Amino acid sequence: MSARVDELLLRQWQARPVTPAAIASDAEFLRRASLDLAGVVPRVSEVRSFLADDDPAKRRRLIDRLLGSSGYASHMATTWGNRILPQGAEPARAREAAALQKWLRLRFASNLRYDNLVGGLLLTGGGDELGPALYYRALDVAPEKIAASVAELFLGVKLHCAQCHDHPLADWSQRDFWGFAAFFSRVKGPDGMGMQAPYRLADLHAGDVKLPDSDEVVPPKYPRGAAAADSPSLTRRAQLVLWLTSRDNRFFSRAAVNWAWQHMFGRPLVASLEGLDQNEPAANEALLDELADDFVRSGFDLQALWRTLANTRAYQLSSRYEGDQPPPELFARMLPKPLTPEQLYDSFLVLAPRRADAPQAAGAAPSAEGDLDEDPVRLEFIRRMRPPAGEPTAYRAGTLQALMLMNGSASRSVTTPQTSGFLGALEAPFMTDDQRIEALLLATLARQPSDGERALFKRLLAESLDDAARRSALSDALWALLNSTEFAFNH
Amino acid sequence: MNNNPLDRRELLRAFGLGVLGTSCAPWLPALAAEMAADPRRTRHCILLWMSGGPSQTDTFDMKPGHANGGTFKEIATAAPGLRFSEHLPKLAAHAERLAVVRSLSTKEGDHDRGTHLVRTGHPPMGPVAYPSIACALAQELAPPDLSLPAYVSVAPPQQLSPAAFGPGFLGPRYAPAVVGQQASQGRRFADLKLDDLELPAGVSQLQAARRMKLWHALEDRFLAQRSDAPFEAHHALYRKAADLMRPEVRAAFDLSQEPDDVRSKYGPGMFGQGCLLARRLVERGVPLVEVALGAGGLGWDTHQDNFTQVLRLSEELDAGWATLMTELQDRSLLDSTTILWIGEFGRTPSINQMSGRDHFPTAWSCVFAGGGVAGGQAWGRTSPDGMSVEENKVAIGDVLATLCAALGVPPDHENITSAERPIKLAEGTPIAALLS
Repeated sequence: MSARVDELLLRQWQARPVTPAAIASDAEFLRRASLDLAGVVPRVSEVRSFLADDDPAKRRRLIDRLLGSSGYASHMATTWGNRILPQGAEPARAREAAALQKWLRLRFASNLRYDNLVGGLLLTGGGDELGPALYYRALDVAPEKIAASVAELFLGVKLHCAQCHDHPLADWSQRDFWGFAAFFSRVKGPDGMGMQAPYRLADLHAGDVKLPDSDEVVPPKYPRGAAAADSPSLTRRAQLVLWLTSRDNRFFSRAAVNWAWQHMFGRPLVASLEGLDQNEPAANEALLDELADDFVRSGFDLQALWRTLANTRAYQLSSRYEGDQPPPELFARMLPKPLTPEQLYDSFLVLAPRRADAPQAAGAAPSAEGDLDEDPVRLEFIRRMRPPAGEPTAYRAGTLQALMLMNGSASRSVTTPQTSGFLGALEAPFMTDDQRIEALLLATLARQPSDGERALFKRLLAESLDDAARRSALSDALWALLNSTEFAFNH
Repeated sequence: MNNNPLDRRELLRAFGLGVLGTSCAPWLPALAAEMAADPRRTRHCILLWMSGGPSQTDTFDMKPGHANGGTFKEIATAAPGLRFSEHLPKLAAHAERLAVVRSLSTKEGDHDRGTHLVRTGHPPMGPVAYPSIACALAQELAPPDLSLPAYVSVAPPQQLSPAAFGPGFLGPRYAPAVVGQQASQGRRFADLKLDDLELPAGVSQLQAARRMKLWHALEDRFLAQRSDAPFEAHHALYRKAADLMRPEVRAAFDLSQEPDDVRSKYGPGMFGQGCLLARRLVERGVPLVEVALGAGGLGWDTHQDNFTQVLRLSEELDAGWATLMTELQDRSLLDSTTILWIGEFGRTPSINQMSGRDHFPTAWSCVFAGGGVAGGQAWGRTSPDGMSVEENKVAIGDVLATLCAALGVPPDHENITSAERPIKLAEGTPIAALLS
């Protein structure tokens, strides 16, 4: 399938014509694939062995290794969790968010079929199954909010407009929208605001939605399909899930594939699944259809989908381009993506693992569910770095975020010799300055230093006369690398 | 890139230390006086953004005696014939410098869409990413040698229409420096410092300067080979942040330099302290400051219990805004500072069953104040029930054009998009009667 993707893209490039970018170097590819599939920059040892490996199939092998790593499961859980929860839901319910992370992590680790994953999320009963109920809770268990979210996430259709009037562009009427919302009209959260009790979701036998400003009850109806009669054995939402995740529901597979494409390539293959964008190359639509069919045929196998995308030639293209850049929707070069807050923080941790003897952060008292205690420093970092929703390729941080990376606690602990394991290792007496400089570059940018960089840092170390001065010189070099534009992007 | 070994003097210069490295207090009044006397002086704009949509009927366009009027009383102001709500007494004393527009009429009654319309002059969607008027004006007004950000925004709403708060096609260089988004609980006054402005403990100024020098060397190499808009944005942002860290620059954000009685007069909340910060920034030459009221929580979106909420908001508004007027006046800065008070729409004159007022774009109010504004008057008139405009209907483009004109910026000045399309600062006609 990877070859087929390249074939369809190549046809477009030839038709335009545009020349695709050159193939990315091994170093570029290693850093890119590690960030996209495992959420962190590669370790120094990984970079060294990958660059030294002369197996022509090493990129394919790398992709397989990353998909099997624990980083894959947590990175997907993070990415997917952020995608399904409305912005702002997380900080208020940190523990539930952590539970959702854990729930997702287990499923991505076992490569649960995507249709089952979505079904499990939407059919959760909450209670002892801590986590997925947060999805309903963050949407206030309101049928219209759940409907709008499910339509956008799993059908690729933005429906909020149809809540109040007919969708101005797609052919969803206001009645269609409320017919869709009716599937969630009988899900109910717990009474009262018992904060400590497990959050239980119940399916009632009654409960309906009405058209706004009227008393007209709207029965559940599949989008562009028939009405759904209430069943004695299936709840309304179970009926919807069966329809939603069926192999014939092209909306479902297309939305999934389009999102996966965006994750890897920085923008969706098709900007609007509702066919609203007239500028869309029709060929991308055809490519999306083929990928979606393949995804269904594979049994909604997510890892197979990532493997397909990562092994395309398109994914191996460099982000460098000589001359005028080709239109982004042609994917003739890789689009640089800013690191997400999670990728930044977790990459910092790769560089400077928390020392086992580090004092516990305040407020992190261990609780009964020990594995739900998220690092509070990480949560705060992510909360403050989270960019506003929008295109993943746009750099939209503000001065506050820059100051936080320059002076804040996360980068401080990485660049302080007393707390940074990485800086400690660089002090080893058997290392030459050349090796230290190389390690700095490999650890941050996953590449060898250029001659100019080597000279710059050598001069810095040569000027440092005693151990203390050398220690702070290495810390300054690391600081400059971590704050560089090259580090801040996945390119 | 300079390849010489680092010496101390150079380091100090690289980090902007040296001559100005000492306290800045003494030069400030002199600078302010100089600025006020200079005919080509910087013009300033302060945007008071009322998030959620403020009720005109309970503030600047009251309907006493009508069922829609609600529970608040009207009071006379310093300007004959101009009357405000009883809960804006301090502002009433400044009415000679205030011009109320009572006949603003728009078509967007949704928070996101209304916010976008009012702040950019255009409804959302469409091929052009319009900049917020604040970004566009900051670009016009910024003096070339300004170290502080040209546009500082205090506690803007974080969820609504992000595009309406950004620079659009002008690019990230013109994005606002945002302060006050961190909760500051349990303190006497809201804290508006830019976070992480100080160097980390254990890092000396000298070391920080060396870090920046290394950083510049790396950046120069990388950007010389790679030009990509997001890369440039990242780089520009860091330069801006580094500039801000200079001690004499970051002192602007240190409200603890102000006496407690001054801080109290503005009101202890985010809005009041934001107005105080606005005064400090205007004194230091910042051309555009925005202070939001009601951005946290529901704010002015008073669908329920309108009168309790508007009372509380009015008190905050009155203290912050009126003290700002007084202090700018005392420093001879009011004549060069134009203030616009506005939200995304008004609220229904009719009162709903929950003692609330709902979204109402048909006939609502905004207020101009200060430099370039012919104060002491109301422009336009709504019907006795407040439901429609009866005289001098004003479109949002006219409001934005009036703001430009009051600041001495031609509203038809055009910026060019990347698709070579010229876009006017404001599509509309300045209201001549409101300009002085």
